[in-house]
Amino acid sequence: MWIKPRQVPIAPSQWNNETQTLYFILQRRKGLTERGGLTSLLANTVQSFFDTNQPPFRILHQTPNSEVYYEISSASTLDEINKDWDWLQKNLDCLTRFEKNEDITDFVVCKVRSMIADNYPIEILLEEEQPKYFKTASQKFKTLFNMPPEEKLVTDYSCSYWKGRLPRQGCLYLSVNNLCFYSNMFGDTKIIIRWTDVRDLEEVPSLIFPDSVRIYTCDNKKYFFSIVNKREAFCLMRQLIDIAMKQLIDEKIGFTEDTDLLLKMSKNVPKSQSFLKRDLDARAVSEAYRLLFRLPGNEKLDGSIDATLFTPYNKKNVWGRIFLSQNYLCFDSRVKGLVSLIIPLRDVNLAEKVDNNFNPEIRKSILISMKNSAMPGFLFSRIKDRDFLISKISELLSKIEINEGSDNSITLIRQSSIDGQSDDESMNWEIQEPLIRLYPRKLTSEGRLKEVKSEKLWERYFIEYGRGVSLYRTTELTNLILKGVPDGLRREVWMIFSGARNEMACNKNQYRMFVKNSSRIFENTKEEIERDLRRSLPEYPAFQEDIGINALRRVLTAYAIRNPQIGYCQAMNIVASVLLIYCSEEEAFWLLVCLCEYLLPDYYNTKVVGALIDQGVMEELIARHLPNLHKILDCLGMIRMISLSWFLTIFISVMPHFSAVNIMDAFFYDGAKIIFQVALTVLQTNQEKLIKCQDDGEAIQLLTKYLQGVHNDNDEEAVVKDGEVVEKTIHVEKLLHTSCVNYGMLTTGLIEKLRLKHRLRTVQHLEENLGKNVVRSVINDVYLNQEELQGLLDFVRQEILTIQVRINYVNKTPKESTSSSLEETFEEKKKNYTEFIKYDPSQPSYMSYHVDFDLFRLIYVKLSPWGTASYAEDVAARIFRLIDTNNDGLLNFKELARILGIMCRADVTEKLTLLYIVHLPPLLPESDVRANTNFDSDADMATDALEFFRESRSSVSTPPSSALSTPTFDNFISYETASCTDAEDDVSEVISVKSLRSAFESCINNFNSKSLPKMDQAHFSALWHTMYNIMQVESNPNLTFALTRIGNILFETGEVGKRFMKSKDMKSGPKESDAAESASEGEWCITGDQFIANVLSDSSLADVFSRPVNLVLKISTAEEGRISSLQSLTEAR
Amino acid sequence: MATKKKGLLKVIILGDTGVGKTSLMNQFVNRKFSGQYKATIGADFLTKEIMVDDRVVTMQIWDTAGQERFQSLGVAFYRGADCCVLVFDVTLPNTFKSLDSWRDEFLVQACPRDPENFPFVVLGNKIDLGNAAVPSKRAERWCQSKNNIPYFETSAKDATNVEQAFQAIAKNALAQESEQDLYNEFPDQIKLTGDSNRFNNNDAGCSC
Repeated sequence: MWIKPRQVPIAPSQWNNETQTLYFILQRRKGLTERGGLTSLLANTVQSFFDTNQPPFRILHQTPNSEVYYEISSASTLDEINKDWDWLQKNLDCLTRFEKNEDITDFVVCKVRSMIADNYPIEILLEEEQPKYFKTASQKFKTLFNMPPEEKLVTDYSCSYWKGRLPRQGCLYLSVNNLCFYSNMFGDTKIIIRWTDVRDLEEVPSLIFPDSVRIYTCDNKKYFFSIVNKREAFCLMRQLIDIAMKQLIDEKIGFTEDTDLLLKMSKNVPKSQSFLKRDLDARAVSEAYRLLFRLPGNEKLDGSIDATLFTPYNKKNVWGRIFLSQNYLCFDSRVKGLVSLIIPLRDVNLAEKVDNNFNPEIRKSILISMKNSAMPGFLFSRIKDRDFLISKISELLSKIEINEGSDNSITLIRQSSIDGQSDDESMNWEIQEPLIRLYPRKLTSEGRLKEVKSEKLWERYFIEYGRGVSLYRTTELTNLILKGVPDGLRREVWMIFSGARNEMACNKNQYRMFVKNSSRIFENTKEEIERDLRRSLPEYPAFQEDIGINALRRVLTAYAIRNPQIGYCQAMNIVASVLLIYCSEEEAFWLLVCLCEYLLPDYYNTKVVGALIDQGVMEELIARHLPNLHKILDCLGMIRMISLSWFLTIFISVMPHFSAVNIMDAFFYDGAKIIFQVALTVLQTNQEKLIKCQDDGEAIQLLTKYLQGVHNDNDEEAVVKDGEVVEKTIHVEKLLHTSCVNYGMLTTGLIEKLRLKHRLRTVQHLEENLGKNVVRSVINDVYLNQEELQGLLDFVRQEILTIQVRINYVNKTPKESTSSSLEETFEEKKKNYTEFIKYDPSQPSYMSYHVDFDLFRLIYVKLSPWGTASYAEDVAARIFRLIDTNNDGLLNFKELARILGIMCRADVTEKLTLLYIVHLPPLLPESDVRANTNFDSDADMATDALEFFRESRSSVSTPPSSALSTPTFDNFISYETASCTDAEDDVSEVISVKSLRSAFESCINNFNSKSLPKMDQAHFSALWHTMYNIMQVESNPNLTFALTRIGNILFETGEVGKRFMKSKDMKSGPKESDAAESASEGEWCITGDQFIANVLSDSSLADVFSRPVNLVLKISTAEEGRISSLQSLTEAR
Repeated sequence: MATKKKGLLKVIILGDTGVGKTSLMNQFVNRKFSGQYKATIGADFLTKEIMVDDRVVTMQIWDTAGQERFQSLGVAFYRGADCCVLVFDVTLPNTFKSLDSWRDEFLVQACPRDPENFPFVVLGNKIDLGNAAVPSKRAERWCQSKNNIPYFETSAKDATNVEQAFQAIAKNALAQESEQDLYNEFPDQIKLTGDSNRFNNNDAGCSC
């Protein structure tokens, strides 16, 4: 098999050459005869692969005159190695065409890598990548904490845990979902904390324990660790927590390793760390990189290197750093803000080496020439590792061409397939050009002059520093932006600096596709958009007419289709309408994409989390910079609400929009920090007045008035609100300028850091609130009290989280390795959990949590009083079906809490009714009863009672007891689907499940057990069997005796019923229309009343059923069980 | 909670998006109707002085965002409210159905002293459209079931019943305030019974 090319020392003593060509050598290890038993070799393959033992065959690559050999393939059989050898011969005959030997090697290495990437499952590659010590640590971690195989260790640290005053020396394990600690000093100490349970994390600045980290969890426990490598560990913890939080926000399932990293031609990355740790480090670096240059979310930093950039406008060479990722080459000067560059590789024509021996400044240089002539080219010099960089760039360039080609063809195919089905309405439209062309701004003569002047300034900048995405971004540009962009250029400037141009260039035609598919939008999203179209920017004439409204509708709808997670959120309409004034429709769409996904992350999702997080950040900044004001605002209780709309609409909804666009200019150029800067300036300017305010209303009014008065002096018409001319307060340019001067220290990095901190708090707070709401929404309808409900909810939540991890794992595993049925189950689950766990605020909050049958079965077994009985799962399946009213295979939290409440807390009669009902057909189908009657093998005590039923048993042929399989989710679902798809027969079955449900409801609500259908003998025997199983757990012989006695009586009652029914039948004919009754006519039968009354007649039986169950205790026992085996309990079974 | 000036009433307007909360507020405060309101983001706010029983009171009216995803942000606005106005659109039954959840949400978040008797007023807006899908009877029945909430059918566009509705709002809020003063003197006393029918006496009911 192919292996990642690595240099090997040539040790001829160990290997014999088998075959040799100019560039390749096939070798066999010495001491291995050709007749070496094939089978034994095969058996060794797997083992030897993971061991350091070399397989006996290998292929080396080498160029003539070179001392260096690369091992590129190895195998344990001749056949296998020959396959690779043949491939080389067939596909690499072009090697002779290369001029340089290095190029040949590069080519071969690259080729082999791509073979690896295409042909081998990731798991094997991953395994190969892990350093040896780490494998042991990982193994230890899994056994110590009983972790399931999918739980991946990131890294471990030597650490002490402070419990009381004694430090316990041990080992801290950080994995993707958990923090674990183990020490065996003073007895075993094991700690497992889920990242999702962490409430706060802090470094402790302590002199005595300088390397300490403190962790607070949701259940208000504190953990205190001293870690040797604190700085690193702390950052990693923070990163892992952040991943967990983002997971909670997005409800995206889990964390996936970035396997591309594996194939990266990494040169300098130390391999001493686990792959996951490297992956996480790479993520952190990439994120910083994307943030710095505002690049799309999938850009991964490949590497960076020091270099100088020749800046033609001042003929200097500037020191800085080159950054390279899949699609971009960026440069940032060492002096902050001096100059930066973003070069999309798609625009690059060529990268070549240049050397100028006369100019020492230009040595080891690379010249990058562009495809279009707008930018002549870029010269980077003094690059230490130039050859590597240039090979890297060419590698990336070659990939880009391939990608672009394939992309287009895909979109074309998609489009043609969609064309067929699109309806007329969405066909007849054209991309709307900027609205400002149709509805020009009415400027004062002064304003017009200013525009012209500004336009000239910009044009001059473009001439001097270039135009387009890859223009030189200098300090002068920052100044220009702050002075405001002329209307005519706004479109271009926004597109370039927001990164939207890049998005649009990479996704040609996507916008049209979304619009064509606009019929796929959710009905309520569509309504929400429709309702807000005319409430977006009504003061602008285009939005009083169809022309603006239609464009706005298309943009918002297209976005809702692109990102259903966000759908449509109020405030997006306001932002989008301003975008449409200056940009074409398609551009507006991509700007909206950048805004929603990168610039204001999570702002518009279903919980508006991003905006809440930034409110937290804002509060902290106010406290830091305006402490006096903070005190006052805090008292007024308004800190969190004043600035919400400022952030959500980038001031558009609170300022005249012609002024707000200036802030947008800066926002697209500099990112979200500008909103913070302006917000702080606004507060600071009004500080004196705000401090004097009596109440929150007064303060808000003051700020509203101030913001409405922000002006730009260019417009002819004064701003009018409610019929009055608004008083001017401050010129927007001055406001922006002051903001940048006063709060220039707020960098994007700082904001990100604060966001990280507040994300944790906000998400935990939301989760807590959601939990409270769920409990509150069901507490009046169920028997459980608050404590029990909270416990149950936590239990369900934990299980769901674990299952998500599990699903994630299964999704990633290559298809061959899992059995298909298992996979389908997980597919099913994945569907369930992704579709239904989504928080939907229009639903009652208990709808946020759902359990499927597997989880319900677990809850039944662990928490219900009847869960420990044998065959409990059969009963669980039927109960599940009884209460799953919409037949979707899921129970919402209310249904779950209700049924559990009935089992644990309800009146004896209700409990018995439940048991009675789940033993009626069709919940307990005829076929199952027949199978069920043959159960004397497992319950000796039951045999006494069963003697009564011998008669019936002899008449029924007994199928093998194996038919009584444990219900799994699969065959459970198949019940459902069968009953849904099949003919009349099954329809009636569904209906009668319904009638059982209504009978059940009427019993529970009105204590009316009269409406219960009658039960025949076979079902009664099944019911009695269940009763035996439940009583068996009690291990009280009296109970068995009592059961036998009551069973006797009931059996005789049934006989009486038979006679009675017969006589009745003769008298009045078939009067009853009830299906169950007519079926049992003239047969043995008992009624629900008889069953309940007889069971209650025995006090010992009644006692068992009326005994209250301590649910809280049961939950905590179950949770403890989970800690000792951390796998999801569902899986542990 | 901020210490309250005498004669200042804090009124919160809640209801689904697009039912006309902003329009009602503006009609009442500025006596104007405009088709040109932006969707409310976060919250908006206006004040108006009115006469109630020969007493001048300042009404501080808070208009909130209607989209569901903003519902959880209400907490900050709800604090210290004296009256809560629930608005629905008579032409859209769904907006009526969500009144329940708006009311519940408000009671939980605002934590009024006496949730049972906290003054609500329900407004069925947009009757000028003439195609009401929620009959008055149905709305009245719901209001009665919630401890006799006064119900008005209004039109922010034609100013129908707006003035009357806000008068009732002010009165109820004041009644509650005087009761609260009572509570404040005896802070441990929690429930005052026998007063639950007070709305029947001073409420003009709906006129449509």
